[in-house]
Order: sequence, then C-alpha cells, then structure tokens
Amino acid sequence: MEILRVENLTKIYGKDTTKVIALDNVSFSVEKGEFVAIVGASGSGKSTLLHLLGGVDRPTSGKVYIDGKDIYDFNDDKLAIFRRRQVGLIYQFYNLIPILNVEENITLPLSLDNREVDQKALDEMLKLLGLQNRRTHLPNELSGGQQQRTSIGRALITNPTIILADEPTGNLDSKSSDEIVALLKKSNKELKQTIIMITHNMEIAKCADRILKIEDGRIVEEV
Amino acid sequence: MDLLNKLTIKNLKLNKKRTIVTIIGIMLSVALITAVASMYSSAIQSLINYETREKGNFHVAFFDVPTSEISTFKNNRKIESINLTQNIGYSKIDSQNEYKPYAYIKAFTSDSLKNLSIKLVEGRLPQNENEILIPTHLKTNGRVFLNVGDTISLDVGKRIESTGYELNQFNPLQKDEENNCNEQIIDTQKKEYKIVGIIERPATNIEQRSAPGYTFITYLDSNNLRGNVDLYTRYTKDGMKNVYEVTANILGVDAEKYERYLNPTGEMPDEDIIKFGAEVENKYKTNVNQYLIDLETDPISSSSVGGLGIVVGIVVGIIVFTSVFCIKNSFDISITEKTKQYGMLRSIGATKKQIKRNVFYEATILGVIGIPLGIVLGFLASYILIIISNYFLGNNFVKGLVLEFKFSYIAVIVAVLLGIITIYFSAFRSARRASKISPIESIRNSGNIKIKSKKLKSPKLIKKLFGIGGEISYKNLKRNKKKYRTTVISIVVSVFVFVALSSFMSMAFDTVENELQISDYNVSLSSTSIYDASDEKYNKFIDTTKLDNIEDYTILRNVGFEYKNRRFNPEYIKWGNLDLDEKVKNEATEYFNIYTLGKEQYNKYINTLGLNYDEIKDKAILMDYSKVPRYVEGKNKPEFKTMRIYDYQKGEKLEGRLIDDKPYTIEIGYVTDVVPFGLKDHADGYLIISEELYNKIAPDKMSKVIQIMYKSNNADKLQNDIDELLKGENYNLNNKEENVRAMNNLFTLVGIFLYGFIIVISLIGITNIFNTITTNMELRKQEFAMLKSIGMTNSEFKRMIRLESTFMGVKSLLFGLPIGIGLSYLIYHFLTEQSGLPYKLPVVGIIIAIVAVFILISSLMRYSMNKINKQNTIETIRNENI
Repeated sequence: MEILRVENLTKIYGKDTTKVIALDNVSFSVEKGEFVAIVGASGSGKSTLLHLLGGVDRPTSGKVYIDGKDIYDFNDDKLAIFRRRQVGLIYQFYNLIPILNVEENITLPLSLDNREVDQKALDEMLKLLGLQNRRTHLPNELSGGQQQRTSIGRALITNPTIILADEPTGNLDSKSSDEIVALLKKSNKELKQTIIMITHNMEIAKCADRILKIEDGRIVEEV
Repeated sequence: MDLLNKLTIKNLKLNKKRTIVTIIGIMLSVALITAVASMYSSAIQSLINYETREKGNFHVAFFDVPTSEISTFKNNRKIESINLTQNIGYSKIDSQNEYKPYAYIKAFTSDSLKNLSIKLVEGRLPQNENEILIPTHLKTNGRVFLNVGDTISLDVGKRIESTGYELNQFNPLQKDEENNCNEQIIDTQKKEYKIVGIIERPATNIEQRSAPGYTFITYLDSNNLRGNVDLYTRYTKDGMKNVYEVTANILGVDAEKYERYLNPTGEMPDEDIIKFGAEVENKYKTNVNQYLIDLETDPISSSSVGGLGIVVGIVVGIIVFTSVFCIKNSFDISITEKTKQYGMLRSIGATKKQIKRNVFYEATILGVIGIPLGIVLGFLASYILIIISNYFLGNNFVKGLVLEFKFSYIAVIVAVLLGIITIYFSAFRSARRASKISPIESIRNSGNIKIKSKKLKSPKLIKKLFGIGGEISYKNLKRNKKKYRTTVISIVVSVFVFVALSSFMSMAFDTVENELQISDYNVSLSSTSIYDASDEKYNKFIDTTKLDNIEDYTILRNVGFEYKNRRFNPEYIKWGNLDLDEKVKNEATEYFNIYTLGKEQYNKYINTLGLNYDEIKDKAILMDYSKVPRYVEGKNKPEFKTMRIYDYQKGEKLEGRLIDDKPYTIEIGYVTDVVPFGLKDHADGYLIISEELYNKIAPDKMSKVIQIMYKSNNADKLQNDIDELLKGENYNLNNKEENVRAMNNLFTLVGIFLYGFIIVISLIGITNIFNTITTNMELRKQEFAMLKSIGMTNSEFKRMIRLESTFMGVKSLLFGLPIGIGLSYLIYHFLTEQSGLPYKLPVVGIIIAIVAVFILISSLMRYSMNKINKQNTIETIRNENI
C-alpha cells in the first residue's frame, strides 16, 4: 500500500542572483512499512526534502500526499495537528525540551493532543528504548545516545503514519549510532513503522530497504 | 583598535534594540540623579534669592558703628562687601493708626538701596539727601495721603521714654495704664524732603509689625559720612565658614564663647550668658543672618532646610540602587548571550584580564553615550518641573518665593560620578563571570542550563487547568528563576510603591476636602482692632453682607459668661469616664460663650426651631448636643456618641458674671441640637441670644468685635468685593475655597513629583524587564521551533506564551499588592487616622497597577513572540545545527 507520494516537488530559496534551487521536480513514493534512506552530500537538498515531507515547510510547487491526503491543502493549524498525529520527527540535535524529563518529552505530542497517556504503552516504549531507569531524568542528565533515543520515543509514541529522521546519528559516536539504527530497524520490523531517514553515511544507509541518492536537488539514483 | 573591542562594538550594533534599551536605562538613571540634584540646588538658590530679596543681602550686620571705624571693616579680608545705612530719626506724622504715629527716617547708600530688600513700586530711588521714599502702607494703614512729587517737612529727632531711655523701631509705642502716650521726640531738627518714590512695606527686620514708625528712606552719601552708621556685611566663603571667629574678632570677644552664646545648648549658665551678652554688645550690636549663611555654605546640615538634603540623599540612594540592579542585569544578559563567543576567545588564548577589560569596554561605550544624554535630559526635566511648580504654587504660599532654575556644576559632577559608579558596579560582577567562563563549557553552552529535576515539579493542577502549554510555561519560570526574579522584583517594587503613593495622594486630597467640610461657610471676615472703631467703620463691615453672591451669612459677636456649680449630663460623665472631685466641681469657674448671630440670621434660626421672637428674645437658646469622642485603650481611633453635655433644662436660670465682671442672670429658654449657620466649626455647648439682648448686656468693648461668616456661590468674587469695600481698613479675610485650592495645588504638585519619580523608576525597571523577557524568548527560540515542528498549533503556542506572562504577572502582583496595601495602611495609620477619616483601600491604584502589569508583560511577550514567529521554523532548527 502506498503511504507517501511525492509529485513534482520543487523548493526555491531566495530570488534572482541569490536564487537557490534546493529541490528540483522530485517525485517518488513510499510503501507502508518501508525503510527508506535518503543519501546525499551536504547541500544536496536532502534536509529540505525531509522538512517538506514533514509539513514544517511549504514547497514552491508540487504536492505531498500522506495516506492519500494532500498535506499542503491544510492550513497551518490543521497541518500542525496533522503533524502531531501522523508524523514523527527525529533531529540530529534531538531538540528535546530541557525543562521536561524523559517521560514528559516522550509523551509531549500526546499531551499537545490532549490525549491520555497509556501507561502500559509508555512502559513498553521505555523498555524498547532502554530508558526504563532514566524516565525522570532531564535531557542534560543524559548522554547523546540516550537523548536521541528519547527523541525517537517522542516520534514513535503517537504511532505515526510515517517517521522522518534527519541525520539521527550525525552527532553520535559509532556505538551509539549503531544502537540508534538498530532501534529504528527494530521499530520498522516489529511495529511495521514506515521510516524515511536522511544520512550521508552509506554504511548506515545500507540498513534500509531502499536508498534514494539525491544530488543538486534531484533524485539521481535508486538502489 | 583592539580586535576584541571591535568585536564588542559589532556585538552592540548587532543587538541594537538591547543596546538602545540599556542606554535608555543608564540615561534615565543619570537624568533622575541630575534632576534631583539640580532641583535641589535650584531650590536652595531660590531660597537664597528670596532671602536676599526680601530680607537683604547680608551675613552679619553691625549697628551704630562710628564712621571712623568703617575702615577696619573694609580692611578685613574675610569681609567681601559692606552696605551702609544710617538712622536719621523719628518724626511725628498725621497717621490715623494710633500705634504708628511716626515716620522713621533711615538713609541708605546707593548700594544699600540695591542690596537691602528695598522694592520700588512707583517713582525712582533717591539720589541726594533731600529726596525720600515712602512706604505703601503709609496710605493703606496710616491713611496719610502723600504722592510722588510732594514735598514734606519733618521735625526729626530722638524718641525717648519718660525715663529718658532712647527707643528704636523694636520698641512699640509706649503707653501708660490710662492709654496715654508715654514717650516723646526730642532734639528735633526741621528737614525738607521731596518724595521721589514709593516702596513696598520693608521686611520685618527693618520694620516689625509692632514698630511705631513708618519707614521713610532717604539717600546716604558714602563719601560724606558723619556720626554712627549701620554696616550690613557680606562675608567671603572662608569668612562664612568661620563666621563666629571672624565676628568675635571684630567684636573683640572670645570666639568659642561667642559661638556658644549664639547657639545656647544649656551648657552656659544664665548669668554667664547675660554677662557675656553685655560684653558682646559692648562694642557694637550685631545681627548674624545665620539662615542665609547656612543656605550659602552648608544647606544640608542647616536646621531649616537640612531635611530637604536628607530626602534628596534617600531619593538618590533609591535611584542608584534601582539602576545598579537593572543595568547589572542587562550586562548579565549580554554576557550570557556571548558565552559562546567568550569561550571561543578563551580557547584561542584570550586571558581572563582581556575578557574582563572587554566587558568594561562595553560598559564604557554605553556610559559615554548614556551619561551625557541623561544629564541633558535631567536638566531639561528639572527646568520643566520648575515651571510647573511655579504654576501650581503661584503666590499662594510664600509671597515672592519663586523657584528659579539654576544650572549647577555640582549636579553634573554628582550625576557623572554616580552614573560611572552605577555602570561599573553593574559591570564588575558580570566581568568576573565572563572571565571565569571555561572554554569547553561555553562552547557546549551547557553552563547556563543547569537544572535539577527536583526543582521543576509543577502542581498537577496546572497541567489539568492549562494543559501541557501551561506546564511548560510554569516550569520555564522555575527554570529561569534567577532571571525572572529580577523581573518580578522590578515589578513588585514598582507596584507597591505605586499603590502606596496613590493611596497617599488620595488621602491627602481627602484631608483637604474634609477641611472644607468642617465648616459650613466658605468666606469669613474678622477684625480685632475694630472694638474702638467708629460706627462708620463698624457699619462698613456690616455692609459687606449686602454684597452680591452671598447665599447666607452670620454676623457673629460673642461675650464670655462665667459661672460656678456646673452640672454635666450624667451620661456624658459616664461616657467620658469623668471622675470629678465634688469640690472642684462646685468651686471651679466655668465658662459659657454667649453668641449673637445678627438680626436676620437669628430670626431664621428661631424660625427653624419654631420659636416666637417675643417669647425668646430675652432668654438664651442652649445648643447642647455634641458628638463626644471616647478614647479606648489599645485603639487608635476614638468612638463617637451624640449626646447632651450639660444637665440644664428649659426655664432654668444661670447666675454668673459677664466678662467685665458685671453680675448677670440668664434664663435658658430652649435647648436644641440645631447648629445655626456659621457655627459648625465652633466647640459645642454655647448659648445664643437675640441681638437686642446682646446690645443691652454686652460691654462696650465687645459690642463691635465681629466675625462675619458668608456662604457664597462665588467666593473669589466676594473676596475681591470685600477687599474693595474695606480698602484701607485693618481686617482679616479668609477665603476657605482659596485655601483649599492652594492646598490642592500643593498636593497636585507633590503628586506630580511623586508620580514622576515612580514613573521614571518604573521605566528603568521596564528596560530591565524588556531585556530579560526578550532575551529569554530569544534563547528559547529553538525550543519553540521544535514544539511547532512536532505539531503545536499557532494558537496553542500563543496560549502558552500568554500563560507564561500571566503566571509572571500574578506572581509579581501577589507580592506587590499586599506590600503596597500594607504600606498604604501604614501611611494612613501615621498620617490620617487621627483625623477620624476611615481607611479606604486604594482601589483605583490597585486596578491601575494590575492593568499596567499585564499590559506591560503581555506586550513585551507579544513583541518577542512576533519576532520569533517571523523566523522560519526550519531555519531556526537548522541554525543550531550548523
């Protein structure tokens, strides 16, 4: 089943002399349960693509369908609500809220949605993340890997349609990187979670079902 | 230029808004200090000007100095200048004022005419010994009509008492027991003078109220001096500081003793004082103008204006404290923001000293811009304040006292020094903090976020009520406790000072209002010297009641009535707990006031009471109901109860004596609680009789002593009309409305100063709050972006920010309002409780404070939120990643 379809997506920054074409007429689609890696050098447009997929940015032209819905048909508020229910975002720098503890950071999207936290599901999530003993710690009391696992937890807790990960291992040592990749893979296999991950590390990309290579805003190769 | 310093300037330019706000903070503090110092020096200068204009420009006056000894004064280096006058003598004139039958001729040199408070109303100053000036009150008080251009012939001589003792202006007219004049003028010489000008009545140090002679001033040729003269000297700065020593040297007495003699502390025995006094007056009589010397040399320790100096000191203290607090915060913020940069600089080898210097460099730049601007603003403000003050004060309080602006170098120096101290004080700790930043810590920027989970507990209720947004904002306030503490304290201080002040002001105005309501009339006229006046003069006073704009009036006359065996109302004795000795009660002489109201008012009064004139006209009406206070121990406010004071009933006769000892028996014809018009402010418990009866019984002496109370619908016009009608008479006119207006003006002015002060102090606080809130929002930019990216809608985001400002506002008000209300109660307790006015909660002040706080916080939050909203979520997240 097709869960994500991208049609002729274009994003242009600036005007005239400073004009930069970050994405140039990109089209592709992703099946449910797929683990797709997007690789490319820095400046190739991969982060732009990810942000457009997540609805945190709007394209110059083109469409993105998630679960059959054109996400840019939504207004800002609806898009925000759509995002907290259907999209999980993972950043290179975790972007946790420093004043909330692990548990609170993970359940933040549920709280925003005024949903009750299913204690059992949360416990299972923490177990999956290996953070059972860290649930009341604040982000600054955690290691980088633990922080990133927290942010993965935050992305997974809502059972989103799709997870978008932007260089999730970019800031981590190799041991932690492996843990994170394993975690993503596990959620892909066990929870049938659709994942799109950006990376410039080919080793990590190889864990994915499919690799899209992006260069100068265009998809040049599909492995 | 040093690379580091270049970097600082770049940073200041980059954070333009914060730089400007910080400069404004510095500017306002300096402006406040300048304004306070400049107002103070202007006030002192105005007092000096007033003093020299009204009383004469001299420090020490020496009287009766032989002409031959003037040169010793001229050669005294401690004496700056000398003004000479000479007493020519007394001459009898045709004055209508029986206590002022003379002209007293003094001669002034041309310098003295300029410097010794002579104010010309008409004509010119005398230029030779045949020309003379007369005072205005010669006509208005003495009814002697002389004009400029007239020539007068005077027999000038010495005024001596029957014992042969020579008298001067300080001795009133001497009369014996039969009211006959007990003095005479001898050794007269005929002199002709041409009147060239009219002057205002001279100051009281030249002519006291009781002085028997009108002061006439002729010319004294300083090149042709004979006899004894009076010397009015100005001392040099050095001379003023050692005024006792210098003066004692001239007088040839012991300096230390002289000082103690002039400032008696009780150490010197009385006989020594008398002995030494004779010694002091042996050579010359003197007059030390201590007040002017204090004003010119050392106003702060002077007893008369020293209080002002203390107030100024306290105010400046508050300003410096507030400013240090706020400016320090702004430096702190600037350094927090640049933590990374300082760490980087340290990592490439900048020393601690260099970093410190860098912070001070930043402080210097801000100071160099802020301080001069502040000084200009401060002088401008005090100039405007002086204009406003003069507008409100007018001539209502002290005639001729006008505030004059004085540019004061000392004010500039004080402001600059305090400004520099403030800034460096503020920068000092920040600089130390900056120099302590360790390279690695700062690059990771973790130093600023050291939080422990324990401290971040938020009550469940918050989440339940306000959702996750509420929780985040609540926790944020806790995280930034230190930063927000300065904000909260700033607001708290402003709020409680404002509430207390507004309460103080409304109490002040209430007291004035209350003052007006105590009496039922608004204009009153009285004259004490009328009792031996002619019927014509008396009728002139009565005629004032026929003027326009009078709604009601009472012509009040009264005579005292002494009697024994007073009987109080038992209830009154019980209420007041008056435990009276039987003997005292029976033997003490008691006193009743017997009033008469004038025919018209009396008729009105008995009509109100339903009495018949013929039945009551020979009896007295006893007004005997009073609101009696009772003081209960432990309570500050008295309890009141209305009751009768005396035990006398209708028909009873009181035996006693009138004031001239004539035995008299008066019958009480009626007892009432109705107060006639005009007597509302008189003590309760008096007798009222008809005019007919009063004229029969009152001694001659008392028959014409009147007080007239008017209720006018145009008090000011009535005042003018009465003044016009009674021109030249001796009377006392009191326009209550004018008094109230003058008081209101005074309080309005006080209000302008107080509110102006609190507003500027609050503004300094606001610059601080602005910096804190905006930078804090700036620092949390990434957090906000993240929240948005994981799906927080715009309205949820706004709600969160709003909640944060609400929490902060509520917290500040929770502290500020109770303190403010407490203070206002204290002010009430100490200032107005005695007057019996109830305590009023300063509701308006509280509401204004609440509204202002919320408007302030939310507009600042909205301002920084808009800035954040303009930034692209993606860019923000990304920025951090680079």
